[in-house]
Amino acid sequence: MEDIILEARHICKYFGALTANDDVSLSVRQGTVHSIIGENGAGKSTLMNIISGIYKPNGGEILVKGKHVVFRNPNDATKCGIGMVHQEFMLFQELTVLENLMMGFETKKLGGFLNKKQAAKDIQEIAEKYGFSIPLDKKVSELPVSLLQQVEIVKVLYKGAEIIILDEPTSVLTPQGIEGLFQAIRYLTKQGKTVILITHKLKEVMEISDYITVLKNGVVTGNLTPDETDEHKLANLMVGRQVLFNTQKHEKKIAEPILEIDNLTAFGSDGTEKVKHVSFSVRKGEILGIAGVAGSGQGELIEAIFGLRNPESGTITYKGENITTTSPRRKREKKIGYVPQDRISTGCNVHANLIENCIMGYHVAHKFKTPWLLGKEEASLFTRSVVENYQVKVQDIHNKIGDLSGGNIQKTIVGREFSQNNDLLIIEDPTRGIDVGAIEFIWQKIIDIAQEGVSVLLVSHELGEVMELSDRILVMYNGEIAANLENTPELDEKTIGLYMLGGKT
Amino acid sequence: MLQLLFSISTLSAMVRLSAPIALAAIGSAYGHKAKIFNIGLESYVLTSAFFATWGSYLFENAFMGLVFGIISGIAMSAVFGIFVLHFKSDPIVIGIAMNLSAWGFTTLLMYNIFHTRGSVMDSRIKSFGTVHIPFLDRIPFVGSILNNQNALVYLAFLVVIIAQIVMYKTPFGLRIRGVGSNEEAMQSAGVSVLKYKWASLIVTGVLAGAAGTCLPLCGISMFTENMSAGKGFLAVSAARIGKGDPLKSFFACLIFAFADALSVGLQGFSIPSQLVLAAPYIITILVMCLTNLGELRKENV
Repeated sequence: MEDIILEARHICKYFGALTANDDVSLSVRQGTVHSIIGENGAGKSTLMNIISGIYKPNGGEILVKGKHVVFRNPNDATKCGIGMVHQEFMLFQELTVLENLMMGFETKKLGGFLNKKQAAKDIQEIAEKYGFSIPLDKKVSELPVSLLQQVEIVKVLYKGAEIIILDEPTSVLTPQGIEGLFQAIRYLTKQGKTVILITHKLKEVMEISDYITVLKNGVVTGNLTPDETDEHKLANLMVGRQVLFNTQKHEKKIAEPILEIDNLTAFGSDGTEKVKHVSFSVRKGEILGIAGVAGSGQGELIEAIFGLRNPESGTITYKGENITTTSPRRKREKKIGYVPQDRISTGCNVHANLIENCIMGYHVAHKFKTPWLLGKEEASLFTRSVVENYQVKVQDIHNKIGDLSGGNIQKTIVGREFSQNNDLLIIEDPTRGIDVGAIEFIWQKIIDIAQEGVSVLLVSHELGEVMELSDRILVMYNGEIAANLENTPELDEKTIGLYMLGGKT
Repeated sequence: MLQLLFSISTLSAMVRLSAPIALAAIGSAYGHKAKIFNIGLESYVLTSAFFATWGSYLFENAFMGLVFGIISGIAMSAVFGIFVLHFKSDPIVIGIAMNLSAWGFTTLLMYNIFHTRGSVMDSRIKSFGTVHIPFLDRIPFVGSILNNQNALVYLAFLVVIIAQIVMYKTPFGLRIRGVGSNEEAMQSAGVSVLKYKWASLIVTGVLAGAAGTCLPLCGISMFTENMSAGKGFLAVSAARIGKGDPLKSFFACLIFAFADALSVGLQGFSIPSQLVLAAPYIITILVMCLTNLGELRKENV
């Protein structure tokens, strides 16, 4: 059964001076789960984009079922039975699921009209065969993320894929969702389909893979099976050095509450109630984590607390003072820092240089200024200290921040917020989409700053992150706080996952 | 006065006046769905109005006027498309440039071809005739509103229906909607984004060309300077109010046409004429406000 279905030989790909793939070879056997792991920028996505026909390689060849193939566009790859499920779903929000699946692959009738009935029947058949159940007539924008992923998988199956590439499929799922996905993957491989999994989550790799290929800096550093390795060895191959996933925690004193939220209600941008009568408090020196499925109201809650969204009702008290309607600028002056979820659009100005970005939001609070103009010297000094203390890799602080990698941008933003003697930090998804080394670094900084007595309100869609860092965990479900749990070693992902899905009250 | 509001003559005028706005609005709706913001529609309508007049004059045939109008509409789309889709210019800047130059361009051509200023009237310019539909005689009130309209008015109705079907029942419409919704997903589905953006532009050009043709060849058989007088802008508004849905955009057009028809009727009353003539535009703003009332409470920061 295990014939080699896909082979890549000596693939090279350059983007200008950057080498994304250097002599990468890969053999994938039919009916197996083949994981490709590596840090961000290791060349995983480039390799997959070459295999799925989006990029053309500068050198090397691809063989499908022993036959030499050249892909000019994604359609050619689709015809050879290769289908890719992208990390950012390639779906049309305003269209129905059925229309999404038909796009570019329309079944026609009467010489030109869409034959929705026939398509729906064909899709239902495929979905049933592989154990998926998706509502075809609903609009994509109405469906939860886990279902959208199923839609994507059914889409590639509908287009006749034999080899299914999944790019970071678990990053958007709850533990239960991940379990469901893994069951689906096992079922698919049992039916003879081949799955290529791109990920950086080592635990999952060990659980699901038959074969593992490790990439580092565009070069293959290992071809293994789960039996002959473990998570630490894989991490070594990925990063090239020892990685400590267990952050160093020390005993610390958690004191009186610093931020109190009472009965807070806020509406989302679509006019629906997203935060429903939420009450909680953050104590001095405490890391309070908020977990929840994306879109459970965490974003709106944070925006309401920081003043980016007017709360409908309720009060926010900070150090005994009512700050419900205080502007973000005043809040910064009161020593509240904020690391937003979207570092590119909210966290920084990609067109401005590092200095400007480092004082952004603090140009008033911190008085980086002479009476009328910005104090360039002090700002540069401050920027240098951030760059140094937060290991930002940059040649010149006058460079645009947009030219840095995601990890370095994030380090700069974290550095900016952490270096202002703030008493409360509101942090959203601090490690989204950045590499293992940077994650480890930022995690340790968060632990350290809480150690110094700073309170941290941490929102993350990465459950592992919340569990690793928090002293206490709130779980949000559907705009409400479903659970308020002390983070003891006994607490496991399954329990939190159930709360996240509203399964436990 | 209330009698005037819903009299047969006002409503019949509404149907007549809705045709050019509707044709252009349907064209704009296709652009809207493909996420092309084409404020230059006004220039399409004006230029086509001129060329339709010229075509009709040259061949002494209204149909050739329509052909000329449509070709000039497509040519305008080509100009817009080359700048916006290939040179990646800002669509608003290009649209405004086209609108501003169209007035001068058509006036210049008018002077060079017809050697007149202000307006062109010539017996060689032929209009489309009215059509009598016997079946409609049997329906009271509605029948007399809809009957005996210009051929182009019926064409406009037909276009609305066909556009609605094409938009929602054919692969072409699906892809147009897909392009506007998510370009990346479109590419991954193996569909050329550029091709369908061009296709939507061509549809806009053809329909705006037909809309321009309505102005001189719907009975009056003359071209006047800046004849479009904001009809293209109204059409863009209608398409946006209808969120690119042909049928909804058409209803928005009917509201504008009704205001337009009223302004003709109201001129007999002692209301300042400037105010009466401004009615369609005031109504545009009102309709925009009303349709977006729901947005008011969403973003309350």
